[in-house]
Amino acid sequence: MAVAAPRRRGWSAAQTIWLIPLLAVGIVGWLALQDWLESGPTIAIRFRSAEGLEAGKTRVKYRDVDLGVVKQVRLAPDRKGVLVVAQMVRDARPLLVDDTRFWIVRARLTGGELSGLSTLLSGSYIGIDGGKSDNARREFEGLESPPVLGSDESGREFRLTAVTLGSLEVGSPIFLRRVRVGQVLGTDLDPDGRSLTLRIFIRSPHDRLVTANTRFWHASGLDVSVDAGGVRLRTESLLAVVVGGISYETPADAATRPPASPGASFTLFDSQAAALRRADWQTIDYTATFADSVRGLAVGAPVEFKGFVIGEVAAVDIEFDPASARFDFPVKLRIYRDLAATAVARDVPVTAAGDGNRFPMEQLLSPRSVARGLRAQLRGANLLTGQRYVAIDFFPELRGEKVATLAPGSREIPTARDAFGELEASISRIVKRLEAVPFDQIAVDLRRTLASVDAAVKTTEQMLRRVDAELVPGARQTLDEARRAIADVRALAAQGEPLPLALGAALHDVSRAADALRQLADTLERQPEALLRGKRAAPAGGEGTR
Amino acid sequence: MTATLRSAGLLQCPACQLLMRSAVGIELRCARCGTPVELRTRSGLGTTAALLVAALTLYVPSNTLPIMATRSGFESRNDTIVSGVIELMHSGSWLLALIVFVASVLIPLLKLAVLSYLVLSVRLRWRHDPRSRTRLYRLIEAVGRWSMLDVFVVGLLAALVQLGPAAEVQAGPGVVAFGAVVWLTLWATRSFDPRLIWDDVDDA
Repeated sequence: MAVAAPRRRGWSAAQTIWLIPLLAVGIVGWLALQDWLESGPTIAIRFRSAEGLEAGKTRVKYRDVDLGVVKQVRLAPDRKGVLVVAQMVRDARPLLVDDTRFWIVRARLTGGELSGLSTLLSGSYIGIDGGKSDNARREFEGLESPPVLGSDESGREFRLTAVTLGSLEVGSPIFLRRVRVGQVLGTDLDPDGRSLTLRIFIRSPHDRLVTANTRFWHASGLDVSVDAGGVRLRTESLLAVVVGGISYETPADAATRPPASPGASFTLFDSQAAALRRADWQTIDYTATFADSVRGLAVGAPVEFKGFVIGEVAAVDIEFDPASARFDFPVKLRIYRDLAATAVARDVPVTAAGDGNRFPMEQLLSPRSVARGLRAQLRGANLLTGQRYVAIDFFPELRGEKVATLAPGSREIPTARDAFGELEASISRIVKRLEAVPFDQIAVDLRRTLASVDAAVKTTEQMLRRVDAELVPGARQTLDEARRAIADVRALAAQGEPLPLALGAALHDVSRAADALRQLADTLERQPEALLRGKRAAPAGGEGTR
Repeated sequence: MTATLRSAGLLQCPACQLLMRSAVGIELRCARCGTPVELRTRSGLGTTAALLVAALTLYVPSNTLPIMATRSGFESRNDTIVSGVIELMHSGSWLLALIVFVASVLIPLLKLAVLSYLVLSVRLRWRHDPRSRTRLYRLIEAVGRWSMLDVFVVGLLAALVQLGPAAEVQAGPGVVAFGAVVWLTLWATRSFDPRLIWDDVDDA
């Protein structure tokens, strides 16, 4: 059997096979190149705590775009914080500059806004706020809370000085006519601990409305005030009620001033009324010294002229005058010069008041007015709360009364007794008069009178008893005797013996006497008191006949 | 003295078993069925070497690129082979971690190492211990296919876990590289002719 010879082969695969590793190297090289091109710098961020951060998992995001991932979380060498090492992508390079800020995004409630809700499920991530600097940087100090303001927001920062923070916090809103136009950036206690400085930001274009005399006030929560006008409830927007806030307003007649420079400092007032009242309004200080109790008169209480608010109480003092050993209460009155100011005090919206519309208060509070009876008086404004106010009014009955005060240049308004004081005075007058009545003597006299009355009654009783016991039986005897006499006379007449005419007349008289006696007896039987007081109907002539 | 086809100056067609006279250095085909025949040329070793180089190159991205992207709820993660093994270990699945480690890390590494050793040993005409070298070859030929386990798992998960916003699994670029590595090593193993191990022993 012959062994066959093999045929020639067409083409060789021995060399072409090397295309495969070449291709593999090409692919891997391309991948590596791409990776290298994409991978940006490694940065280190220092945080106080690594809460919610996980190496290899936590992302670094800018506007919700992944720009890197946390590679490592380790304790800082000084053990006072943590160092978070993050691998950034190449695109992040321009963001990694001096003023770039990093913070950990978690779910939190600031300034009435709930943010980072998605992190509840997905876990925290690191947020970036890109800076504008040109100096590249690789090591950063992380913020503990998100920056209130993105660096790309335009507007201006101002400073507010406040006595209390109220319910304000970083992120609290700032309102202009209840429109949200800014935020509180930060709060710092002054070194002496007596006041606070708040940094606020007002977004463009509203920041241009802030001028040198713009007024800021606390719009936090509910403003319930009990004053001479009663209970007053004022709120800003509902958001401000819940989370607090700051409102501001520029008085209309001052709006022409140029916008305030960034970083300008303002005072933060407690309420809108306080903020606008104490604005640039020109005020004149007067004093009214009251002698009566100033109970119920609070600082800030209105000063009214016939119901029109023309000022407010600035201070209530006490003074002792050793000469007269009297206490006086000098009350400082701050009188507004302008009608516009009084409009604010009355909660009337401020309108640009023309100069011609202004009323010179000095004219009202002049010596001439005092001569015509102008006085200051304390009046109760609210019976419920006992608040009082100072009324400036004309008292015609005091016209022409000489007063030393409010001489030219003096700022002292004479006072009139207040309504309460007057009432007190008249009551005391009545009491004094009552005291003058000799009640003791009257009582003694009365008792004496009563005793004599008693004695008189007793005497009468005795007399009556005597009448009963002595007079009545006597009378009866007299009657019997008279009857017998008459019977004798009748018997005498029956004998038919003619009697002289005089005897007939005498007999007639006797008969009349007997009648009268019977009448007396009857009367006495019925009205024994007739003896004392006399017969009521007919005159009792009985006694005379005895 | 052992007798082989080579020592008798003969060739055999791998398809129809036809015996032919050997002609060294020429590309040959079977005289009867046309199947390419060769005694065992050095170019066969070149194929193995080329595929090995490609596999070694792709081995780097197969381990650094994520093979699987998982997203459940708001959490999403990318896993490489090694991070997957570590994750399994941390979650307490030691057996699973071991299987994945052996199939996806150990076996490909073993294959690459053994094949490189065999190719080098033939190329440098080492003569020692051809029996154990042949046994090594048989071993990697037998276990090689199991490395595809990972690729299948990822493929299955990516196809099955598509629950919309709740959970989603996607194959990463690493799985392509890894599949390529396994496929290239399988091909390289097949292209290696273990008879080459013995040729130099015979020649000696």
